[in-house]
Amino acid sequence: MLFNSFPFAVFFLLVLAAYVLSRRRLHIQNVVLLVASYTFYGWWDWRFLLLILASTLIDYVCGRLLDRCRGDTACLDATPDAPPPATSARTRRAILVASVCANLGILGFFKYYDFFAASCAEVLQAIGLPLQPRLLHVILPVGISFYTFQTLSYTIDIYRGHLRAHRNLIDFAVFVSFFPQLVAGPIVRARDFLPQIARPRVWHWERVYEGCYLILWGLFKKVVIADNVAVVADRLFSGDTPTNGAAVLVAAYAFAVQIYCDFSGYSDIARGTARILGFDIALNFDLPYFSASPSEFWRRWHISLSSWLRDYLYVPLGGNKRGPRRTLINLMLTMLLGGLWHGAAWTFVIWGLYQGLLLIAYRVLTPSWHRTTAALGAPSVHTLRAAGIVLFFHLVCFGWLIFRADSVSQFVAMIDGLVGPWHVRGTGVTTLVVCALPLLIMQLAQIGSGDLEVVLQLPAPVRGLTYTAMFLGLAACLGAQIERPFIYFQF
Amino acid sequence: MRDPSSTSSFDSALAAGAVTRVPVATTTAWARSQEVLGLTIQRRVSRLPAGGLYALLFITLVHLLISHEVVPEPLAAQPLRARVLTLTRTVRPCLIVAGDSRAQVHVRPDVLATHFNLPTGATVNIGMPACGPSAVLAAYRELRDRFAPHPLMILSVSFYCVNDGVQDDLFIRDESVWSMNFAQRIGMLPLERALASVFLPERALLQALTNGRHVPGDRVVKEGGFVAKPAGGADGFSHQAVSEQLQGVAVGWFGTPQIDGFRWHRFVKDLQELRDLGVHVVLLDGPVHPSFWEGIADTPRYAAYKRFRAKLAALGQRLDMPVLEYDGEVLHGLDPDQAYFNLTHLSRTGATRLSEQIAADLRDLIDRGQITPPVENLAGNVSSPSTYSQ
Repeated sequence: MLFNSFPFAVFFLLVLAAYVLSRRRLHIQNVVLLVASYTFYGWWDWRFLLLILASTLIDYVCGRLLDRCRGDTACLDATPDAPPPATSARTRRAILVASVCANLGILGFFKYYDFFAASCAEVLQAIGLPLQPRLLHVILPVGISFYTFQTLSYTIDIYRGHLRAHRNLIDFAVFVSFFPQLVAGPIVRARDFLPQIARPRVWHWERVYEGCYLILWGLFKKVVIADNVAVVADRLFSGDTPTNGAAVLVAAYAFAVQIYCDFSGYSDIARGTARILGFDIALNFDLPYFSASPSEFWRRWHISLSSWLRDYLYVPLGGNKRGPRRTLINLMLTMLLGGLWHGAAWTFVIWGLYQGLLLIAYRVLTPSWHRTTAALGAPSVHTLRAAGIVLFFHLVCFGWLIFRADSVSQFVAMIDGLVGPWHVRGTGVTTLVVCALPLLIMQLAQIGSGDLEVVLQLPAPVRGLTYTAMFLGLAACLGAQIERPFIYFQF
Repeated sequence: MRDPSSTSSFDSALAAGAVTRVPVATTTAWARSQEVLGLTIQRRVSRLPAGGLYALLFITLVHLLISHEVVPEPLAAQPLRARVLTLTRTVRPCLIVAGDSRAQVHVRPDVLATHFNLPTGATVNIGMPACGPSAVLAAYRELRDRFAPHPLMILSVSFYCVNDGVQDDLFIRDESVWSMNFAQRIGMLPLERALASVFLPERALLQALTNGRHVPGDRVVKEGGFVAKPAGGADGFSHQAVSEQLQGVAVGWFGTPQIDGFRWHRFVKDLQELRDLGVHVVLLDGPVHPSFWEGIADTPRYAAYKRFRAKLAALGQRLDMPVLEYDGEVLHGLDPDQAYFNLTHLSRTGATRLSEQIAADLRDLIDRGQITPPVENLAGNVSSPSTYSQ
């Protein structure tokens, strides 16, 4: 069930009706949410429900066990009636390892088994040890990477003493499977989200309007911008068009627009839907293409994933506390795993490597850059920042070429094309410009006002005109084309 | 402000008993209640989504403007438009084969061209799957400059094109939906499509704005648009294959047959409009495999199909449009399993035979003065190279 489909619209209206009718009883409201979430997830394939149920039960039990023997660790939200602490650090570690292994085991099996088996076979064959691995061709359950990370953070937070285990299984199951963000994030943290599930929701019309606006803007980004630009990107990446410099450049720009609008569109719809239901989900994209450095980009792009990787991978590896060299290694490891998280293919690994290299280069070169600019008399801050944004946007686009390429050889061929002849005609540049224009206008308004929801602050008639443009764009595009699934579903 | 000590018309009226004095407490309560009501209304109004209400107003206005002034009629569907543009790149055709997939695979333009001594390109086949008369009309209306004036059009009409009871909505194209009212849309289409169809004019406008992106291919030019099919298709005519096809036909063609409703009336109007645009229309209903008849015999579908043919013949007479109806006899001497691709479509062998027969029948109609020979239309029709391909 896609957000940009009619079944979802009907589904959401039905859920909303049941949700509003049960507003006086919190536990019934949560049951409604759970049933809705499982229906939403089971819509793809009912067998996926078994996985999410397993993941939920494993982490619920592990969380409870960790909580029982939480030792001397002070809990931030400890309650007086909490069970007496036990002091077995080893047991706690064993429980955590069991939870992590179970979660990563499920994820690894469904997402990476075939990739690693095939890759190992290739390596062995290269060194003269032919091996025929048994590939399972397992279907990748949608959203497994998202909810696995979500449940992992829950047990790790309990282990660290940042969180108490949640006793109510229904509430916990809602946290794992909350349908607006289940299949493509944002990855919510138990610390932020479980309290929202546990407390009664208050109905505010303002929140409903804001939610509707987010849904409208998210759908516009997905259906009108991303799906139309996808036609250009797909054609250029499919290899039908002879590769030339301009085509490669347009392909990179087109995919940059497509992936941003696709993913941030999904996040906005998720946030809007959640807001109507009375929940707040953290922002996932904060104008990432206006970043002037790699570290800024990762603070603005897929914020929920990058902050997850920071808190549960980079920091445990030592972060920047163990010397400069170790910091760089930690950065690279984090980005490599971040790349692999996106999919089981070498292009994603190389993309992670590329992002890691950018971060390392930035960290290494920044001090000397500051010294040089200070010595030479630097241009104004604004000029530097603008130049940084343009430069870094192109570095990001280069990364998207790696990310989107079907294979490493296609990526190499496209890079070859960059130094070949340049013919703009037939690349779809007009479509790209026309589609990207509304996005650019909106983002400039957002930057100018410093408010991501700037449209809500406009005078009512102007707001009405904006909604009209979005709605008519949607109405013209929705029925005309095949529904495209969101890109991040595959991750 | 009124001075309470002064005597006024109000006091006089009070004295005369025309009005009654209301106790002060009551008026205060009334005023308070009015104030509370005012505040309540104000609060409620302030809670209304003003932007949303403006949007509702603007959307309605813009929709009315687009649907009545900017795009009042359906435009040619993108693939059909591309096909026409490709097939008419060098010559403005004077003999057009149009309609659905049956037109596409039943009539060979080259056979007709040879028969009427027309040059290559003057006879084209613009048939496409599920393109009924409404789709053909929309394409012709928009692209009439690509054709010779007063062309002869062989328009293939299948049963489903006029059937309101068809169950698969793929057989009801947007060009037909355009002229339905909302109740008809709800009745004939899935709910999702019926709702989305409200914005067909907006979609058409978007299409019009993006038409320039299409680059025509060369594939369809090969045989003037004719698409040859192999005998027997992939599955042949085994009992199972025939039964599966019959099931498809039952849903896609017949459903619950209803050929007196909206789509029939629309069909008649489409024909009249084509005639008004200067097109000489010849209606065509091609043959179907003998197993088709055996499969629907003794069912209401058989009677419905016979009635359709009778109505078609009567309509042809009424509108003075020749109707070419063919049964299996047209393929005499050919093994049906070789002459057909499936139950409703001919193979290349069958299409060649049918095209020869159509050419002969057209010649006969010309000789009897019922239609104008296409060769006369051709004079001076060869156009300059298409600007489209530039």
